[in-house]
This record gives sequence, structure tokens and C-alpha cells, in this order.
Amino acid sequence: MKLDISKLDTVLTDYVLPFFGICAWLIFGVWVSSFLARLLYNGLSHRLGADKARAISKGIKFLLIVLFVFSLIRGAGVDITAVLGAAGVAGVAIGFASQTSLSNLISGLFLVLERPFKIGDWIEVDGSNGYVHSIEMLSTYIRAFDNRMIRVPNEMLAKSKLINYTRYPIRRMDLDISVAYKEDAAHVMRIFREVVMANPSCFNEPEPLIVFKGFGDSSMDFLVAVWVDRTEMQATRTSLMKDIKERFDREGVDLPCQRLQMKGGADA
Amino acid sequence: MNSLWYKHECAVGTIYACAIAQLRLWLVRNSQGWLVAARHVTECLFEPLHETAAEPEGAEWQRFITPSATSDVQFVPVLPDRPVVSSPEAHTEIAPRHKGRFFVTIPVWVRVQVLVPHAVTLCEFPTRVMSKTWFGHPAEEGEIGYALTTRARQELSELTDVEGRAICPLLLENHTLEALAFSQLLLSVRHMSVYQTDDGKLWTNECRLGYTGSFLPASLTFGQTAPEQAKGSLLISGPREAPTSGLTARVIAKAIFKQQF
Repeated sequence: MKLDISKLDTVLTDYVLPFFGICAWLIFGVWVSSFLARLLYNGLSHRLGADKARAISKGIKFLLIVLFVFSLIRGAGVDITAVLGAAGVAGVAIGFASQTSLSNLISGLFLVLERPFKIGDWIEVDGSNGYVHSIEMLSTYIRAFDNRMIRVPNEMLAKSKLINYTRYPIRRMDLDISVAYKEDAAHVMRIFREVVMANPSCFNEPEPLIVFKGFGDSSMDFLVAVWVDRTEMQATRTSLMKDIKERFDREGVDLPCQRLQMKGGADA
Repeated sequence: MNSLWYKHECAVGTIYACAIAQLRLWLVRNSQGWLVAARHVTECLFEPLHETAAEPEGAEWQRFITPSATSDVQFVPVLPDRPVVSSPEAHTEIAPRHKGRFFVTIPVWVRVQVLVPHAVTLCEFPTRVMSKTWFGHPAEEGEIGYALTTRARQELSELTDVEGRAICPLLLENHTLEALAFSQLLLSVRHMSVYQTDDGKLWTNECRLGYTGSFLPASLTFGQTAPEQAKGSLLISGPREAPTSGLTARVIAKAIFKQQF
């Protein structure tokens, strides 16, 4: 069997080389787009914040890739208007099929503009609790405290009630503490005040709040509310509870225990 | 008190201890650097650095690797790392277009430096434990600072507890047409330097606040040298952050935010 060199040459010239050329141009286009997007992100993240910078740089990268593809199509001699027309029709069809994705995308844009939270904030949404790891085009990733990664669609974030625990630098920490009925309420409140004032992590202003909330089934119930640096909440809670317990032990203040009075016989 | 802020020569392997207000500090020099331990107690005491046989109680050593040739350590008084919040001794009103002078004492921090021969900072400790406080509305612009336990006084002679504290002369100018009821003041101490007079007292440069109303922030300027009350004093430590022009401050003229249950 003889090999037809002229046909091989035609295949190489008409198909193989253009194919490799297209691939090379595409790879080059994606590489340039990624490089420019990264430069843009580095430049904008300090000024606008990581989440906004990421959204803008990804949008620019997508736009650049689309431009590269269009230039490839034009270079191949294809009529752009016909392609755009076909793309328009396809777009409508795709739109109907991907309503959820579009909704997530638009919700993501609104989240970036409205900024109910930023990367690094501790948020709670729909029962998921953790730090915002990244805000992407369709979803937001939350890193839970046990290092699970939770993906929350942006549409859900936009529609659901969201709690941002780290929006403000200080927070009020409420401690519900009960003591036995036999204790002197004024004495107990004095202990709370002294312990709080002696703890340097409890802010002087806004002033701590100590309230006698009421009478429980087996106890007198108090609220000790102090303002703290949000980064020190857990440590301050621990130190305050420890100090209160130590004072209670030292001054003989009893914690409540459930009491049940039973009557039997003729009195019942 | 004077001798606290000078340099001390330390022998290898010997434990040294000192007390500065509520701070208890221990030092040991070894062949590769220094070990430092510190803790705070409730009693105030001032003792210069001296040899001791006792190991530190309730404090853990921190290790610092430095050039081994250095045998000198120096304690440098610096101002706290956060702003401080001060209140006047009594309800005070400054008349329109008038100014009031006050003196505030600020507990210093101790910066432990070794001289190699240039100064290398090992660590810093507050000499007194100060409670934190919030200056501003909890949900609006504000700042975390330290609450001063001493009050802003109008006469120098009224300042009694000055050991281990830097005296800050403060000039509060009321540029408005209404009386300024001055209740609290946030002092940005990171822009202030520390000076020492011959009698061992510590001073900061003068701080001047210009109040222009509750809607605008107060202007803030600092003296470039030691205050006039401490002429001829020596500069001991510079500001943590160099002051720039256009600084502003916050003065809460009326009641502080009170939380509601």
C-alpha cells in the first residue's frame, strides 16, 4: 500500500496544524486571562476587600476568555453575527434550564454589593455556623469550627435570615446564673458586680448589667451581662464563670438543686 | 524609681528580679540570649533590678535568642498599646470659646531591651492591669481602649499617685458657642513620647484637643517637645506611631450610651 504524501500534507495543513494552533491560542488566552485576573485581584483586594476583588477579577477573566474565543471564531472565518444569533437562541434555552444558577449568580452579586458579611466573618445561616472562607459566583463557602466545609448557595444566603457574629468589634455576653432560694439576692448581686469589675476583660463602658430576672422552680435567676472584645468572648466567659464559682464557694453561696415536695396519705 | 529606667549589667546564669507597680519581672541571661518571666499582682511596689535566688512564682519563662556579647539590659517606659479613656474628677463644663487645662496620669508599659550595642526589644509588659472599655456607641464608630482609674485633674498638685505613670498635660479647647460638658475623653497615646525630669517623674508631650461640636470630630495636635511643666527633661521613648497632621479625636460631650434591658 502506498502512502499518498500530498493527501497527508493536506490533512496536516488543513486540519492538524490549525487544530494545534487553536488549542495553543486557547491555552495562551486562558493563561493570559488568569494572569491578568490574579494581578487585578492583588491590586484591588486591599482597597475593596477580598470578596469584591475576587468577584471583579473572575468577571474580567471570564470576559477575556470570551473575547479570545470570539477572536478565534473570527480568525477561523466564521461570521460572528450568525454565531451571536445562535448564541442568543441558545442563551434563552440555557436560561430556562439554569434558572437556579442564574439566581445564585445574581444573589452573589447583590451579596458582594450589600456586604452583609465579608471573608473571615463568623456567620450563621440556615443552621450552618462558621467562618466565611470564600464568596464565589454561585455559592459561598463556610468553614465550620470542626473544619467541615459547608457550601451555601448564594440564593439561600440572600433569602434566609443571616446572623453575623463578628460585624461589630464588641459584643455583649449574657450569663444566666441561678442560686438557691435561701441566698440573699442583694449579696449575690454584689458578688457579681465585684467579680465583673475585677475582670479586666469586662468593659467598663458600656456598663455591665446585673439583673434579678425572677424566681425559677427551684432557684433565683440572675442575668450578668458584660460587654467584651468579641475576640475574647470564650476566654472571658471561662474566667468569669470560674471567678464567680470561686467566690460562691468562698462565701458559701449555694447553687440551686431541684426540689420536689411530695405529700402522701390523707394530705394528698 | 530613677534607677529603674537605666541600663543594668547582668551576669550569666543569675536570676534578677524587679517590681514596677503591679508588675513582677524576672530575668536571666544565658549563653544564647535571655529568659524573661512576668506576672501581675494586686499590690503596687517599686524595686530596682536586683539579684535573687528565688525562681519566678506563677510565671513562665520566655526565651529570647540574641547576640551573646550583650550583657546590658534596659527597661524603657513606653505608653500603652491602646488609647486610654479618662474622665474628669467632677462634672466639668468648659465655657464657650474657652479652654481648660487638665493633667492625666497614664500607667506606663515596660519595654525590656538589650543593648547589642543597638537596642533590641525583647518584650513589653503593662505595669498595671487596666480594664478595657469601649469609647463610642457599640454599633457605631468607636474604639477599644483602657479605662484609667485615676481622674483628670486641673492642678498638678492634685496628682498624688504618679510613680510608674506618665503625666499628660491636656488642653481642651471649646471652639463652639455652647458650653462643653466634658464627660469622657479618648487619648491616642500611641502618638505620644515619654520624657523624664531630674526628679524621676515621667511626662508625655502636651496633647491639645479642639472641640468643634458634636457632629465634627475634635482636632488633635501634640507638642513636638517636652511640655512646659517638664522643661529640660530627657526624651526616654518615642511614640509607637509618629503623629501626622489632620488627626482627629472623639469627645463625648453628653451621656454615654446606656444599654436598655
